Amino acid sequence: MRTLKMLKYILISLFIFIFTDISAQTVVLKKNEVKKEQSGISFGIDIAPFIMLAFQPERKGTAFIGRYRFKSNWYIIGEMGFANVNFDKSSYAYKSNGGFLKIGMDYNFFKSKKPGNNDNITAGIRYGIATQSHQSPRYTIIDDYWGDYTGSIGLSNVTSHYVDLVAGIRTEVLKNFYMGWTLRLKTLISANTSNVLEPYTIPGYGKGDNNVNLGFTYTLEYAIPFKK
Amino acid sequence: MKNIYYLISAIVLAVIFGRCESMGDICLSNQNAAQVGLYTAHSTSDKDTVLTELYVQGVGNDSILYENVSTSDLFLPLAMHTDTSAFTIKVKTLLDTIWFVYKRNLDYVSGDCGFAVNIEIDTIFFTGRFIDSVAIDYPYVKYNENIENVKVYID
Repeated sequence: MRTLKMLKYILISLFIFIFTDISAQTVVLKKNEVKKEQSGISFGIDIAPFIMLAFQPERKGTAFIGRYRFKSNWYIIGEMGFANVNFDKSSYAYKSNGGFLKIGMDYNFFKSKKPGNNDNITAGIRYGIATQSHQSPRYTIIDDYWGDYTGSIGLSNVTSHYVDLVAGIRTEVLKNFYMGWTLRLKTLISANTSNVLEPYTIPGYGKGDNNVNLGFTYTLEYAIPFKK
Repeated sequence: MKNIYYLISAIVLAVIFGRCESMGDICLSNQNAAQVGLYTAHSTSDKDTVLTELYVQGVGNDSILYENVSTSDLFLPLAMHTDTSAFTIKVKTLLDTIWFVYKRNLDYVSGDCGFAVNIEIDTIFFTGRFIDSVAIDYPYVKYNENIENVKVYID
């Protein structure tokens, strides 16, 4: 139910953006204007984890993206990041440190007639692998009759594999500087745990309890200016 | 203008994701209790029976679980620190003791709800003043399961 509500808001936002974006670009290409080629390589940072800190202060992380345009509308994408979780609530305390690596491709559907317009509407796929070490320094199971049961679970490692289906928008806001956001449908392939403790979150994936997660990135990128 | 729309839509999406992801699961009590049904021993098929003036207390615990009630089923919390829990069951002037012997397994419920101890009832002993016999119907006492575990037949 929560996922459906989220999807509804996302689709409305996406529709509003695409409509305003396309209506803003009804410019006719003049005869002598030359369409500027977009650079082949760009690097950026995902600032969504910093925004999410306002809602989930227990989760800290950062992620970086690299993009290489190998055909006119095709991009090879590499992403990497780090994630740290630390909380202590009445039922249990939890600590996790880890990182992720994703590799995949994007296809650009957006073909602007406006000269020098390098905006993109993309869809793509990522394969992700994450490793993390985590522990529960304390857990408490409330028992009002016999007394609470407490214990701890020591440090262990988890390796997870997942796939992201990605749709996004990317626009050049200043010369060679891009802003972009993506929506992601993430599917967990496997998460191998060695004891009873399951990962609260998986780096680059989100909540470990869910077999499917919705994700969001908001990237700032710099395109290295060179001609192919 | 386009960039402003862009920025606003990105912030709106971030807020939606942040709020939705921070909503947690609804957690139940992680304390596990064996569900015990009371049945008459004087019937060829299972017929529940209501005991009146019933008192139930854990052995070694000062708190009374049931005090002067009439009921046909009991919820007996099994201790998570030990492999045996015992209860005294008093009906009017008759008093029986029942022991549950079980295995315990720590189980991860969810990121929001933490852990529970799942129990597998192995054996039940009892004194036979008014209890005729017992049967383990479903030995597993698990989080978020509502299944009768034990049938106690009353003489």
